[in-house]
Amino acid sequence: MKKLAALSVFVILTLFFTQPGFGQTSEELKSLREEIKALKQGQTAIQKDLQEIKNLLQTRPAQPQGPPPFKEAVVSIDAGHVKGRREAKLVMIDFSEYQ
Amino acid sequence: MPQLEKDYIDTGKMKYVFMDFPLPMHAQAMKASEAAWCAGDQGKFWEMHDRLFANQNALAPEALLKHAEVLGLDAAQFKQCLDSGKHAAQIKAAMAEGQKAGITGTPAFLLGFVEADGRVKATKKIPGAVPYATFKAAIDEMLSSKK
Repeated sequence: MKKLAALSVFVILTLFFTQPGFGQTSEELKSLREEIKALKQGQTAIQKDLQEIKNLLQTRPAQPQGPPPFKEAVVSIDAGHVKGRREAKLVMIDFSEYQ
Repeated sequence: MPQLEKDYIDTGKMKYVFMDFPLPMHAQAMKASEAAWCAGDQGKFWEMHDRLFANQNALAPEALLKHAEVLGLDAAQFKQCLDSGKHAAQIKAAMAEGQKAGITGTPAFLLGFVEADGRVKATKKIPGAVPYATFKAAIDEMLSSKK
């Protein structure tokens, strides 16, 4: 029983003497709050930027992927070798190589 | 190709034009194209053409001379033609036409109709290495559009 009382006193004393430490902690809390405030402000700025980027992407027309599809081309076949009858109007041009 | 020839070229429905497109990254392709043209000087373009396609791993200079010999060409005339590069300009002209039409790789096929000035107005492009049915569908569509 005596031992327990001594321990209680020790604990109370310890708590009491660490009291000045609370003062220090409230200083830290203050700077922490300021830090959080700054972080929040940064986050708000980032969100604003993101929204601007989103808006930009939405207003921009979709870019076509890869080369444009073939529409038409007028080709001289003077440098080609022809097979087939003269009267055929449809022509298949084969661009090729031997290797 | 043999099926296309039988169904459309021999029947007079379509003409076939071979345009050289030797890619620079294929070191032997240019001389092989020239070899076909040189054989053409002696009236055997298509014979050399078929032979080169059938022997795509035998395109070195000495192999080209051998092909000419097998086809019964005048060897000296053939060699002189090949060495002089006299047909290089025509092959480059064929390539330039392809590049203008947006061709970047081989083989590539264009389908179109002959214009009054002899040029071809191509309205369809078929990338190489597609099954015969794809060619057939594209050709039939072109033929029926003209009716």
